[in-house]
Amino acid sequence: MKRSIVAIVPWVALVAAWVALWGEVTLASVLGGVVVAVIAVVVSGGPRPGPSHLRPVAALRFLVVVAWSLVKATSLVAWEVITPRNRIVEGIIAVPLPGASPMVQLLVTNAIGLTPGTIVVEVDEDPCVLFVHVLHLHDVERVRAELVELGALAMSAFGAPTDAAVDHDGDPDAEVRA
Amino acid sequence: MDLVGQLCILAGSLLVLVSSIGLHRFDDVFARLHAAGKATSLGFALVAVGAIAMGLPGRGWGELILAAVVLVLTMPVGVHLLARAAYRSGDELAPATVVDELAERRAEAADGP
Repeated sequence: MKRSIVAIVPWVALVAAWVALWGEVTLASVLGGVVVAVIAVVVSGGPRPGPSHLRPVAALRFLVVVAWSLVKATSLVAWEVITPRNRIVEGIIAVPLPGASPMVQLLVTNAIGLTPGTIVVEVDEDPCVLFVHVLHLHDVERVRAELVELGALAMSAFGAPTDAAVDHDGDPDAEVRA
Repeated sequence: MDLVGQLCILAGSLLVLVSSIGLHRFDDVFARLHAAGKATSLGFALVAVGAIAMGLPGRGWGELILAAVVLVLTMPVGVHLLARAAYRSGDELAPATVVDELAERRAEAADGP
């Protein structure tokens, strides 16, 4: 049952986007949305496999963590810009996400990219390692631990059971070497 | 509702202003991406929310929400691709850079079999 709900999400999103473009919910705009959604899916070669699993509580926690870090990081970068003092310590660090499915990689990369102060520069896929450029890198291991934590959260929310088997409290360095 | 909307629009505009200043103040392409790429889209999202709050009830909020959502969803992808292109083309990192584990990893890979 869960699977069929997940499968319907892209369709609902496409139709909703079309209706939003028209600005009002009418029979014509909804029908038009369905037609456009079918064309879009056919042209793009079908919907990509979405999140194979969805655990609502963990997903909500992931959303809250991302939203909070968004607010926190935005104020931090804004403060950095308007105060004359320069506290920038830049660097590129490796963030391992062992066993992350492509969907989880995408989510974590997007969440990191959305947050000011962190940019994913490069992605190694097998094993999955994100290389993240950080603006305030005062404590390498703390930043790395935070990002690994974010990845673990995404896996527990959207990952397959094998993804979730990763030791969340594990030493990130040990996972790099593994 | 009007006051909430105006505050949102003001906050969003300030955010865009700050990120424009950051564009001039920061040293290298990555730091500038931090300032310019992200804060501007968040700023637009705030302006859109403010406009919706001021316009309710009425038309137009569907388009605004859609624009904000699409911008916030696509922006990280664009920033990532810009950063990757800059790194691969060998753009110099700022002097304030303390560590580059990507370069270390690539050097290890080059040394390996």
